[in-house]
Amino acid sequence: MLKLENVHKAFGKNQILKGVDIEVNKGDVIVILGPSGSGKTTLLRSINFLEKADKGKLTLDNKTMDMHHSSRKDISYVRKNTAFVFQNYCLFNNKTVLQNVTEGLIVARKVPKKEAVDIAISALKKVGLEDKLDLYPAQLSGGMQQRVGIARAVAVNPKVILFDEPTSALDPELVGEVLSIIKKLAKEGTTMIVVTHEMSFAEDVANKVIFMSDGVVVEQGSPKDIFYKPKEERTRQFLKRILPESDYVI
Amino acid sequence: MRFKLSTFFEYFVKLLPYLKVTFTYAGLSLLFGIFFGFLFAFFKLGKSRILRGIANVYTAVFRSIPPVVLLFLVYYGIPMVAEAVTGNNMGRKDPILFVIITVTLLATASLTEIMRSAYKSVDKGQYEAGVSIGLTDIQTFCRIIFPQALLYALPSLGNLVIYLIKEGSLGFTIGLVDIFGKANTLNQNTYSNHILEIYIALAAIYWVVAIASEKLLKFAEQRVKRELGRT
Amino acid sequence: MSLNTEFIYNTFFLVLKGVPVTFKIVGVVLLISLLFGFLFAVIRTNSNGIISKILGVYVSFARGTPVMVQIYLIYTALPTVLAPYFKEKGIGFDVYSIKGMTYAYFIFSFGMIPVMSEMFRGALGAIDKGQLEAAKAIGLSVLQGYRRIILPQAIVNSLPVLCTNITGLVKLSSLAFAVSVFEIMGIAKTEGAKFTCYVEAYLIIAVLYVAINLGIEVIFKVIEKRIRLYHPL
Repeated sequence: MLKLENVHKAFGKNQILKGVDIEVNKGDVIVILGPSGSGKTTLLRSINFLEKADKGKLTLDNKTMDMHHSSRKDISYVRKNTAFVFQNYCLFNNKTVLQNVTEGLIVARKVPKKEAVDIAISALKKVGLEDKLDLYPAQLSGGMQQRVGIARAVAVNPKVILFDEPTSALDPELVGEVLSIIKKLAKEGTTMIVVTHEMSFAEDVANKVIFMSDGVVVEQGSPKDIFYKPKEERTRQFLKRILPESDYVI
Repeated sequence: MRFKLSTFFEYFVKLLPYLKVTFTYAGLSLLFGIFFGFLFAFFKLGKSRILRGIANVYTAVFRSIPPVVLLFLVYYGIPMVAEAVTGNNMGRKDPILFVIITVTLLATASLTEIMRSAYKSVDKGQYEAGVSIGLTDIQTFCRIIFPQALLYALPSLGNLVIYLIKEGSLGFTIGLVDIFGKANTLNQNTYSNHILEIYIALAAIYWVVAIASEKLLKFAEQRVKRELGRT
Repeated sequence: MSLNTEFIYNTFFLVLKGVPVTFKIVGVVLLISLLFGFLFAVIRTNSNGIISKILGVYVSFARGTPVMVQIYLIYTALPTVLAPYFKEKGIGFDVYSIKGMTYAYFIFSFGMIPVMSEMFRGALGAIDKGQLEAAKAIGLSVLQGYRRIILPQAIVNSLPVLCTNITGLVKLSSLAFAVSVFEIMGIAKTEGAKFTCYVEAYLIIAVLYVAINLGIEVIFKVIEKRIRLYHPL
């Protein structure tokens, strides 16, 4: 359903992405792991053109486009069919919780207001915040804000949801509530690509794990394969560093 | 020292109606200034070196020039330029025109900075979140970015209004009949017999307006803090 | 449209003579307002008593009223009322003997002290309270603590605002003609009236003031750059 081919991106002299290929099928829950600087966030952001790749091809639902010479229509098409959940939530500060979720529907997709509100409320119910409709982001905790961010993404019914380290900015005690919602979505069959450091989450819900380092995909496979039978040395090094002393890697 | 409180109040009331003039030039200059300030801020943040240069030169000059000098330059210079361009004498124009032009020029320079820094204060993530759910650049700007920038600019805007009122008060030097101009006329007509009462009343009016603006501003700031939190 | 270039050339050098006067005004007022401004800022930051409140009223008045009004009150209105009063009481002091320059110093300082005070209040507020406590803890007296720890930080914090205030003071000095002081503005105005070359006269003034203020901004940019090497601003 979504395919990325040969993606390159440099920031000034730094070559961050050095030719990455990714394939996503409907219903996939893909987790991208890797050390910082490996390019995983850049890759995610280049999918919905928050970063403009230097080279590469993107195919979404049979529509193919060049990632560097993309037209406004192409970019709009991608953004209207995907959704992004930010590490820092990025809720619209000047809008209420309800308005945050309806914005994409009413303004970008021309959904009539009543319908949009219904969709928004059901999305907010899903994340457990239907009683906070008229509050402003400043009045919510980090975990709640992120949940609204997820509701905002869910409400527009995207083909794939992109999660950029959704729990990294949260206080430890709030991580759980957000992760459980993402897990719920995954179990319902939502297609998603998640960049994260939460290993147990990856093992629980992902059906494919991609390990990136230094701007390339080093290894990919099922969580079992990657965590218990990593083929590459680099993967082993990474896992050894970040996993507690456990029975993952020999 | 002769100072009668009743006379003071008498002149206070006599001068009040002329606040209309003061508010007129302050308000108009603020409006025009916001428009042009916005434009120049846009130039400054853009990619064109020429536009950035123009905006930078403008703010550098109009923030360095003393308001009274600019006022006289405008008062003597604009008719001269107009005559050269259209070939006929402008005749006597209402001084308020020159005051508005001068104060607008000054306001624009300050507002360029205010708008630029307010725009920068808005978290970049707001723009990214907007476009990520499918809003166009313009939609994101009008619905998400600009309202927040305006809220960030509020405190500076409040200060600016007081500044505009103070600088525009120099209008009396070219014959503007605002509260200051009227005060001078009243004083001349009474042969300086009530000079103290008149000018203290004048100062009092300005002071009250300044304090009222400050309170209004604080109120607005509270509301902003409530809605935007600590961002 | 043509400008009288001969006038410009001749008057320019005449007007330059006013620059030292402008600098004198700016210099004196700067010193006075920095001194008292810092003093008042310390008082207002550390206490909330009667003095603090009175200072608050003073600041509010000075910042809320236009300078011209303050000039009219102190330079025009006050002497007119004091003169007959002094005569009545037999006080021999001639109010009209006070030189314009003195008025300039007094009135501009009156207006500038609150501005500097606010600047220092902001700077002091940004300094952690713990700094003075730590100074006391290692045995410094309060005065030493202020001189060696607080004041240097306050100055560094204030630099950007100080630049704005100094250029503001330069612009303020342009009103000195209203108290009969012959600095840049005063001279050019007279010459302009003499030859009815007003536009040219004010152009000269404008150019001079803009040049002075831009110069000040450049100097400050250099200072700030140097300081940034040693202090995180």
